[in-house]
Amino acid sequence: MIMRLLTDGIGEVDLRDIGVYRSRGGYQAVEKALRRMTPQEVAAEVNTANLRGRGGAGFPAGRKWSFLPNDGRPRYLCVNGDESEPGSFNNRMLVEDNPHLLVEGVICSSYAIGANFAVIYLRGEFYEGAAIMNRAVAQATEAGYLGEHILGSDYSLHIVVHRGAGAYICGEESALLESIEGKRGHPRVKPPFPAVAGLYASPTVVNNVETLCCVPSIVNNGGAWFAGIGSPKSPGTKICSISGHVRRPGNYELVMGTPLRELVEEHAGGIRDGHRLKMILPAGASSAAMTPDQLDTPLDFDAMAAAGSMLGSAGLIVCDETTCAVKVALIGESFYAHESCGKCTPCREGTKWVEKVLARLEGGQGQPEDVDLLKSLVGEIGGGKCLCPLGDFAVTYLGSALRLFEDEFIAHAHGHTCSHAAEVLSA
Amino acid sequence: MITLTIDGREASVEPGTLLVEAAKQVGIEIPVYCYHPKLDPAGACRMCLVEIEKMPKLQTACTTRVAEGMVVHTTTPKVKEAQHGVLELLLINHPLDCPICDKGGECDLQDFTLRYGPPSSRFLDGKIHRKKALDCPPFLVIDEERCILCQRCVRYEDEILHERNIVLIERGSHMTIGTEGRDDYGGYYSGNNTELCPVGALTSRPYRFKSRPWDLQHTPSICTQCALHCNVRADVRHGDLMRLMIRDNPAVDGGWLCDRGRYAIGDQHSVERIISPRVRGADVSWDVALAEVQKALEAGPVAGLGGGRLTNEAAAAFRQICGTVDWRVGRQVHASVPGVPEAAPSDLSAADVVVLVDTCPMEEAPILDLRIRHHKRVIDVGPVPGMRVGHAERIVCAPDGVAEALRGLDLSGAKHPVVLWNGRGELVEAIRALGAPVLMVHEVANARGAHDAGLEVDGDILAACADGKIHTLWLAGANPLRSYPADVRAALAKVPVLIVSDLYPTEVTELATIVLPVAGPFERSGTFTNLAGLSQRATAVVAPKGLSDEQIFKRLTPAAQPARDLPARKPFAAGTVLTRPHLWSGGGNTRFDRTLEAARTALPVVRVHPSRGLAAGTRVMINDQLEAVVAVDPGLHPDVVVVPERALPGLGADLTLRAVVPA
Repeated sequence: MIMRLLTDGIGEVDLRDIGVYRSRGGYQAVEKALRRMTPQEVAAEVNTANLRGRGGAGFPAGRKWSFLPNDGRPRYLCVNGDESEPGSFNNRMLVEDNPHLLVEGVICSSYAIGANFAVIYLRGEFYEGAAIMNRAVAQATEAGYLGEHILGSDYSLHIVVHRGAGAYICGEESALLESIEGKRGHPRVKPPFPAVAGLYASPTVVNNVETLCCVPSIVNNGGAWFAGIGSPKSPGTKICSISGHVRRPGNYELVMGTPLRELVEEHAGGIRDGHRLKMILPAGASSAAMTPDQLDTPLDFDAMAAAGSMLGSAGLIVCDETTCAVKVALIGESFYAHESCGKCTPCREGTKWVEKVLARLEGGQGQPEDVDLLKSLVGEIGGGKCLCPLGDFAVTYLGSALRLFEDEFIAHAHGHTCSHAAEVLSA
Repeated sequence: MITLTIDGREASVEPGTLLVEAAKQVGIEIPVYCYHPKLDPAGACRMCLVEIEKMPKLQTACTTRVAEGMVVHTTTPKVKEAQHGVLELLLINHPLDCPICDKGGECDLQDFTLRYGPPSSRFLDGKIHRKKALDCPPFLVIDEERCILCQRCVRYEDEILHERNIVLIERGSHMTIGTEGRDDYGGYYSGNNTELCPVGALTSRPYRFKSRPWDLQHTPSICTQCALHCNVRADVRHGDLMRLMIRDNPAVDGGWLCDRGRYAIGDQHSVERIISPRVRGADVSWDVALAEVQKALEAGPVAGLGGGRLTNEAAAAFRQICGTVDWRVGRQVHASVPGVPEAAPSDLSAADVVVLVDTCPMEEAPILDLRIRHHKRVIDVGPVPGMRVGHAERIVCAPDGVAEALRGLDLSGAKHPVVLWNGRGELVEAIRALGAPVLMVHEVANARGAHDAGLEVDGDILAACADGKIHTLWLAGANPLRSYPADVRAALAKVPVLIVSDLYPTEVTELATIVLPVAGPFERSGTFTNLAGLSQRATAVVAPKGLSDEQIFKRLTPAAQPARDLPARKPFAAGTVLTRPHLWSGGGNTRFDRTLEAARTALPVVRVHPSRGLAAGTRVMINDQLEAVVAVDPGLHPDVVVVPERALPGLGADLTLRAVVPA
């Protein structure tokens, strides 16, 4: 079911203009929080809302905030807008089309955690998004929602918009912090977690763009209201980015728990004419493939995990029967090999090796041993052996494809052909 | 204490101990590449994955700290599979050129592959080829193909040196180590990288293709290039000194060596060495030479200069033979600050405030500098900046204004202050008034030993020479024409018999009546006392050229008439031309491999204040004698010009700088 909590007005009015945004009730959450609520009350509402992180892990934001030690060090809020997962483009829409919602969310959240400095970290390629975001921050400052003594209160907040240099790894929170500090985008060893030693070794919260965009409506309507929307354990809405072989690809904001089938068949208009669904990668190129028999899975964190995949940031890639499972793996692996930061061995060496093997299979140079080799490499790279999740991400789809579509890999390895392409031709 | 179980063995360790260290304590090896005890954990190589009960995934032993009751397994099938995996992955792009790799035989990749690795590779696709044998002057050779990207070097540069001479370049499978923005290595501590490197990616140019590790005999000794006496392991192959390695002594070197110490092993085969005793220009036998010496010792008033480079035993014998001896032949006139507690090098690590009194540890005792680069307050007093890397509060003063500047310092707020001073100038009172422990940074290696052996006199021996009061002057490892802050050529010319014992021909061997070649470092055994008073043994590891100083003195009988009634010592004028030690300007009896020396010291550097209007990089002639290149240093006192010590003989207080157009 569509529910436009974060996307309301997008495509209809120019929400980038602070006047338009305010005329539709914008910045009321800031007014309410700063004038009538204590930071603890704001945090308590977010806790009650059970707002789970939209970046992919689904960790409750309120709990994340509660980990900050109270030891007098400055606190920071960093917004993770390094949306780089192939298939995900919902953060981009929020940044480009509803920037004030994010600013408002950042103000409320920073107020709740006691941060006076926040960084909006945007993916390097978001040139336009960064310009829009900077404009929004300037407008909000001019309107008195940012800067010193916001709305006459004791609270001050400054936001810096920081554009990355184009590395997927900087979506990993500790690499993101390194990048903000001007260092190489490499994940840190954890612990310590950012809550204890994050940006400039100070307590830091890193939240996704969409997560923070949920905060204004929680402040306005109360945590209990939010918790009542959608799945009990994954409340709220989720903007699903759907792409691939569907009639109407795009972003759809759905109530959590909406069945996958409704998104694919109803909102996205179903598979393109004359074709049938083969698989869905529900959380971008790094997720385990789901098959047509799993279409009734509700789109929420727990149900998707129970179905053997994940909701992640809900960047759904839909593939019809003309898609070669090996080629999808090759395209994904080339991406991860290119984006591996190089810090740890399995990811750096393994992704490149897997890419080479897949390229061989695709190029008709497969060896009979290759299928077993790939299965074994999935184990060598995945299963939490790497420093950060990138290594796991890099082989998640491959691992699922080797289970679900093993015959296609075998055909490539033994017959040097794509069995699948033959099927398409004969059809 | 925390108690845990590793492979069934119970370990009891300090809280906070890393699992890899806890395992070591109970004799269990967990293989590591990126982990190094002196560096922060990185969790990068993934070689040390172990199984911990109640944890679903394997954990890295190099980043996991012990917890009470932890049960760890390091040899389960799951762990072995992970070790196989990491090694297989590390080897896919490795060139396997072990037969021509200097590291072969002491390579962790070889060793762990043998112990933990898969029997064969399943890799069919082409290896990634990268640059090999890449020169990183002056001392390093980089092999990008052998590199397993453990990042020890990069972290050492960052965490220990704060310099980043070696950094990571590119990312993912394209990632390599290298220098950024320059082709050479910019710092003074490159050699440690060759020991940190677990494979043959960073090797030493001087050691390249020289030996196999199993052909080397290891002997513990010490480096005597500066007064710190870092502990080394001398590696000798068939009688030739091949290399020096770290022999970690936390009280002295903290487990690091500087490049000067590590690579100053060129003496043994230097063609420039004096190899025969000479009397009045003619090569003679030792018997003839020593008979001449004995005659000179009995012919009139005798005095000796130098001795700060000798072993304690030789220094004592030198004093016994000459009677009147002073080790001070340079600017340093004080070996200690009486009445003030002495600090040790390790106190620098614990200090919260360090005061540099016109002293530059990076040039004068390089390893000390590594202890003050880390998060402490450094107050740098003097006309020339003493802190080269890292932040210091700079108190600029004129050359004769140091004492006054020190009087303005208040260290009462400091918990553990340490003062570093090189004993130059009349600052004893001002330093004592600071009320903080002092660590002396001596000008020559065994100044402390010579001082303790009583090689100091009240008067001025060179002034006595100028007055014609000395018949026989013995210079033992000393060249006052370069080190003394005034021109003493006339004084030396008035001495009837000048004896010089040294390794190399110098300005004074040219003037000498008798020249005695002596055994160099690593050719003679004996004790040395370091700047903090610690006596350690230097062990001979190669055959000497010539006799050792001690052997020479032992074959003589003491002078009949040691010089007496010397003229009083005058303080050196504090001019505006300052000579400062420079690591590569050499300490008198040191030679690197000639090619390396040429690479390192292409031109001496003269440092000037920006107000002089000379552009950095300008070539100038100093006093029309020495070509130098200008470095502009805004930290200098504006009136001051700094010339590397010993670069120019007989440099007076006046100096002209004439810009020249390079040919």
